Amino acid sequence: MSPLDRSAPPAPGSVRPFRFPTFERRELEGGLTLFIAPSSAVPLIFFELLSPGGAHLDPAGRAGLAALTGAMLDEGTPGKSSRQIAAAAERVGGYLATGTDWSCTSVSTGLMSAHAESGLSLIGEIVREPTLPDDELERLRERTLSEIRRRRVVPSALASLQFARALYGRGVYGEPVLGTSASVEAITRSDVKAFYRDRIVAAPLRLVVAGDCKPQAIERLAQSALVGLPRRQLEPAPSAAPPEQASTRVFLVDRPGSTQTELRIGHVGVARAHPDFTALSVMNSLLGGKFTSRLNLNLRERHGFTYGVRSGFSHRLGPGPFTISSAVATESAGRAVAEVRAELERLRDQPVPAEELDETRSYILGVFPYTVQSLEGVSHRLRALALHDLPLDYWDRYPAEIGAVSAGDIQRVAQAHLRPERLTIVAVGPEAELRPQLEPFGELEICRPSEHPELT
Amino acid sequence: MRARPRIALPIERRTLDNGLRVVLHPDRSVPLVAINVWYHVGSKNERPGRTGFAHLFEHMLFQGSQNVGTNDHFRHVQQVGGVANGSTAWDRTNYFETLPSHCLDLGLWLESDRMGYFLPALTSEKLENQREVVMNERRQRVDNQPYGRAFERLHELLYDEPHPYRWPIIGYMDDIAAATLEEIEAFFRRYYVPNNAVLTIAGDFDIDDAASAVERYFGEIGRGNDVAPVATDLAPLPGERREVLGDDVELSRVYIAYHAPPGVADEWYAGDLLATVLTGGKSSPLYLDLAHDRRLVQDVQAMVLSTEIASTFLVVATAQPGVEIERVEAAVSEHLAHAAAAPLPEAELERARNRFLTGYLDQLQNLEDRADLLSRLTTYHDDPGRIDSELDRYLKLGASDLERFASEHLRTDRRVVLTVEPEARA
Repeated sequence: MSPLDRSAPPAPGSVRPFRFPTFERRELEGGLTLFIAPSSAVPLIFFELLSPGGAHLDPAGRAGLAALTGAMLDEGTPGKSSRQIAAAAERVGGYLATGTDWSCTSVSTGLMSAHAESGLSLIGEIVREPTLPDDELERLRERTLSEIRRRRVVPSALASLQFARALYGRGVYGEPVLGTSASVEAITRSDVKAFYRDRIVAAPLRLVVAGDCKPQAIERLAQSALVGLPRRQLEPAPSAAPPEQASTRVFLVDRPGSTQTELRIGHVGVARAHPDFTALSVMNSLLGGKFTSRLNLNLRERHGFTYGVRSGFSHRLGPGPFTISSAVATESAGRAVAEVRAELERLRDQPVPAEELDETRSYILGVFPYTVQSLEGVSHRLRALALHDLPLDYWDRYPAEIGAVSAGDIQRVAQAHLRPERLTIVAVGPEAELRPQLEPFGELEICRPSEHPELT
Repeated sequence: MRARPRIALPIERRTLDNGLRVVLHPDRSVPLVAINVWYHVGSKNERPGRTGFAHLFEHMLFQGSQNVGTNDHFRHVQQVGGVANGSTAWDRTNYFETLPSHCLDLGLWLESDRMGYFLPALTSEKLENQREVVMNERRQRVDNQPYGRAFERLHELLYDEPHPYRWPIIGYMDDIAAATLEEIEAFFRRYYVPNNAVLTIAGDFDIDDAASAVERYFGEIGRGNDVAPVATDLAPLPGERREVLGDDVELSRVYIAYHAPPGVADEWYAGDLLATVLTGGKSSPLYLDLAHDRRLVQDVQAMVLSTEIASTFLVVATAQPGVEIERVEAAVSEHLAHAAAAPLPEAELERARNRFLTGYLDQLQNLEDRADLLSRLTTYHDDPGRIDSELDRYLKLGASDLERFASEHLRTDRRVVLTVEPEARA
């Protein structure tokens, strides 16, 4: 045998086809929609019930209400105490979880498929008739306040909080999902009951199911578990209306003992439903979404400023933030910001080379099957369809849509949606070292967390 | 023992002439292939003064080899839609990528090029750059994180010199600064030899094609010297060691830790199941008592690390504001004493066994995790078939096994209690 020629990467073989797993969408009465992906690969099943009652619906002064109400759902029903609810799922090896984000509040369970019926009826029971008991509310309030305190000294959390506040003020997306100490203290039991009644069980509810099941059987179970809730029509959400910004602003959060500086750089982005979303996601992958992105190759591999840097648009109903995040050596913070700004300008001002665009598109497309290997991965994709009302063939058309994004599209969306002259820059670190490095970028404001407890 | 699903995975294993152990697990359900290489070297192979070396070395192995350019490892992988990464632990370093299955050869080319032809591409520029990256990684994960130093300090208290679990995987800052190019080269020659590695391929491939591709890419790499095992001597803790660490935190936290049997020993599994019984889920006894009923803690977690020559069983609990950490420690100790004094209720064990079973099936959905587990079982047990029988090691455990584990290993006179308390900020 002749010695192996290693000088060039081996040629690929022939591509084997991949299709997004088949699923069904079924409409039940009363505004309940099912998305069911049956698969017999493992004897497991996952359910996630999505309610439109997300943190974007928190009333003014009551930040954290959606999250607290969501967390209260599994704290008691007429037939079960908090501990009995937890035990019901965990006894058979499953979990039951509640969660709230900027688009929804969800209740999810995952367990062996032999227990599918008890899993779904448990979700039905806690969503249909939570008793929202006083003692559990006080306990969860205490836990939430502790969590808010804990985050106060986590540099990355502090940077994200300040960044959101700087972009959105006290409007939608400006307050933390968990709320602030003051807003969580202010929440009353009647706030929780009203949010449950008017927001959590408001139509439309969506149920995502992935696992070892028959859709017909799931529909029957869902019918008895979830149909017939006293449902209200959802009142429209307040919209995120962030103030316009004329120039770059710098917020320096002084943390004297820091051995590193947490950076958040960006501005308001676009809603998930924006027609440029697909082109922006390709642009972002190339800029800071993948390991070989421009930002990571620059800040990490060329300069060694950081262990890593990422950029991203947030998938929200309204215009969420466009954020570049990194933790950098403090002495390099100014240079890191300058490199980030230069990369944004380059992306906006110069067409993307064909080879780089090819590599990026093929990364996004090639990695797609990897992200849907598991039932959780499939659920995650169905969740996106359900929350953002995407067409049913969205994931089938996805490869073609990504493949169609051209260099011209990238430059057009970069020009339309990147604003390197009007950035918001948040740095958490020692003021004395950071101030001279960051002052050149724009008007600088110092924040001292100890003097501004309202931040958290 | 109860009936349980069988993990009937087709597995073929072979050993190349150079000593490389190869595990092939075909599964053609998705057009992906996971490649996973374990080198049986980790931070325990380091010496004081050069801690963090195995991890820094891992970074270097992503900086190209004779036929792969400096930043091209990730580039080759990502441009075909693959993902790649590596990680370093106490006992092993792994490197892995998942690729579209028609690019299997690309992955084998990349992994074999750095196994066989890493040194010609090694430069001091690359080392200086990755040294900076790793120093920033340490700052981000340890020095600039609340409680970040605690885990490191805990190991210093648990393991006396010269035990190699004493120092942190990421290493001390001065040691990261001190590593030289010559040492990188020597480390490679000593540990990165095919006879100290396991290669697993899982996913969509033909077994004969894959076997011959492996032979083609890896067969020509020369065998190295055998790697001597690290000494396992560990004297029992002479008593209870206590320490208080001040940190920029809001909530006090306590770490209660014990020596436990090696992660490769049969006895270890009782510790793993016990940890799940104690704190696995919101209906576990410690969560219910400490977090729910008495409201002493924000979180509580028991775990046993699965390290090779000894392991650590620990319980970590974070106090609610205003709760003295001594009360939390006392409450945890009460539960541990209880576990050592009498058999736990069967219902608690059943919950933990079910939790383990569900979690195991869940984890095995991903080819990457499956490949990593096969490499682990081959590295430590020379038996990838344990992927099925591992389950029985948990499911057969009874209350008396857990009681015995607790009474033998979780002794108050041989433990470390490390407390992290808020320290007034400068």
